[in-house]
Amino acid sequence: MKDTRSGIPFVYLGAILMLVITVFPFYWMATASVKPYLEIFVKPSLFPRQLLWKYYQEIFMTTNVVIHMWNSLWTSLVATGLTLLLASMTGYTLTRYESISGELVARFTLVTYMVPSIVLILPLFLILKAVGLTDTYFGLILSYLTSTLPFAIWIMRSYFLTIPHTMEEAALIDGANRFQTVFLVVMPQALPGLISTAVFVFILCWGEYLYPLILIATDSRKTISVTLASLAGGGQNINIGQLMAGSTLATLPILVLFLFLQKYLIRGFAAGGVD
Amino acid sequence: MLSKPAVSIGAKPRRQRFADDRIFFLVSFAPTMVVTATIIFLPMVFILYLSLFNRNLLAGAPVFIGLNNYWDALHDPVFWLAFQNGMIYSFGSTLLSVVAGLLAALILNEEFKGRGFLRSAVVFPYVVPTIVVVLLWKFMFNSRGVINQVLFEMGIVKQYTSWLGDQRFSMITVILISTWTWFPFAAINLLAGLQGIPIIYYEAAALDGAGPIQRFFSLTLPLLAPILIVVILLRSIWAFRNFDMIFLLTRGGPLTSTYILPILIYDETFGKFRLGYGSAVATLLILFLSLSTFVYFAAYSATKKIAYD
Repeated sequence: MKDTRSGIPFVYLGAILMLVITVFPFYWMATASVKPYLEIFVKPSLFPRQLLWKYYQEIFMTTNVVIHMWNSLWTSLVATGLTLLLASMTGYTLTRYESISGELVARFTLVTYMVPSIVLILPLFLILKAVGLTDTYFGLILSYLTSTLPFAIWIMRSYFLTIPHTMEEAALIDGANRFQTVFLVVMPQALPGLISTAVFVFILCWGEYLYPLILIATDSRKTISVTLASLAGGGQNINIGQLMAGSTLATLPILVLFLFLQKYLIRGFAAGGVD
Repeated sequence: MLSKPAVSIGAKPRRQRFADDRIFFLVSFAPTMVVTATIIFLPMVFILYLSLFNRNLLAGAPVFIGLNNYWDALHDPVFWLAFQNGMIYSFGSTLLSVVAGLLAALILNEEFKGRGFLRSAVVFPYVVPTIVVVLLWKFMFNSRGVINQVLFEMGIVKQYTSWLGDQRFSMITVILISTWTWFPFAAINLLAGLQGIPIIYYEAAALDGAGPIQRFFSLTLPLLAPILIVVILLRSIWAFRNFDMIFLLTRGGPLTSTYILPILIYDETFGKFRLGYGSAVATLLILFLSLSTFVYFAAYSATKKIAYD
């Protein structure tokens, strides 16, 4: 069929190049977190000659990195749950009610998704301060919703558009009400979409930097991105080994998601940007 | 009272209603609207309001000054410099990530061992936190880092260079780093597009004697155009509004070589506490982004039409 026989070496060459470009930087990061200084800079080694856990011990001792990772984890999970709850119902309604123009609302949603966090952060800070929610987890989780909610509604709507109405009509005839139909009939069908949206929303929250930077003042409430950034801003005392150890730790939850939910990750991707 | 049968053949089936439709509508719609109104719409109105005042946290009570902040911003060379840098950054990173993404998609569309793994691995740079991307590449581009070592060994550079710390190279380095994180977005979406092209087209073209390169330019590229346009527009809008990446990499420096509007807003607001002026620049940024989003929708509808014609 495709006469690409002669092209096969190029395909493998390209594939290897791609693998190196995407994976090598992570390998370099992870190995630098267990190599002595000499092996990092002076005589760089491709494979660490020994595993050195010093940098991990140091950041565990000198920073609250464990607490900050935990904060990132649970606030991201709560934000993901809230986002999914709101976005799945709204996304569904946008595709099933003729009384509102779902298309128009969806477009409006995308416009709100375009509003950058750097624009929202000041008014959001002032509003949250007025109601006493700055420096609280609740305020932080609310701020995450500014980017996750429009994103999730947009994606969930596109999933519900692909789900045929037939099962719902059958449920209607059987005398089910809308709540039962949505939660027992539609949502199970939308489960793959729900999972991949959740994975992406979690990833967005886990990587959030500006909101926690501005909204959280107390050290014990900070999140991992802010910790790493301030560790990197330490002037002359920057320790590459520690930074790479911290970066490796911050990558771990994403790696876990990646290993278990790969399929959903890619699916969410394709739906994410292009309708 | 007898109710009519729920579905009669030939009647409009969509007229049927659940008894609790109105309640469900309220429950599913109202909470989202309330949350969105509080955390997105209210802040946007607020920032419009703030932009009309000379409000400086260091200089006492706010004074209403109308559109003066906008006038100042539009006459400030720094504003235009940041705008221009943003355009260069957005254009550069979009161009490179779309080209790299297209190459990656073409490779992933072929059959080879380990394709499934590679397709997943390629997503990874896109999903790690920005701070990890930044620390990782700052380490790689460090003046004694691996990139300098390799380039020096290969004889490409004569001395170790501080890629991010030299204003001649900072912009291109920032563009390269952002390309690395963002090309997977283009790759996966273009791959989906490639897989949607019927194989029969290629067979027909091959029968007509078209070579691989000719097939790419006269078949693949035109059929991929709708997705390509959408990816390009989304990617460039996202790059233009992005704050974290450049802020964490260079803070806009050295000097003003990577200074962009989001960093200008940050400096004015949280550095100099000129809330009014910062808000005016923020409003101008939203205006520009909304305009770009409308272009996106127009292009999207247009390409959809072309695709169906």
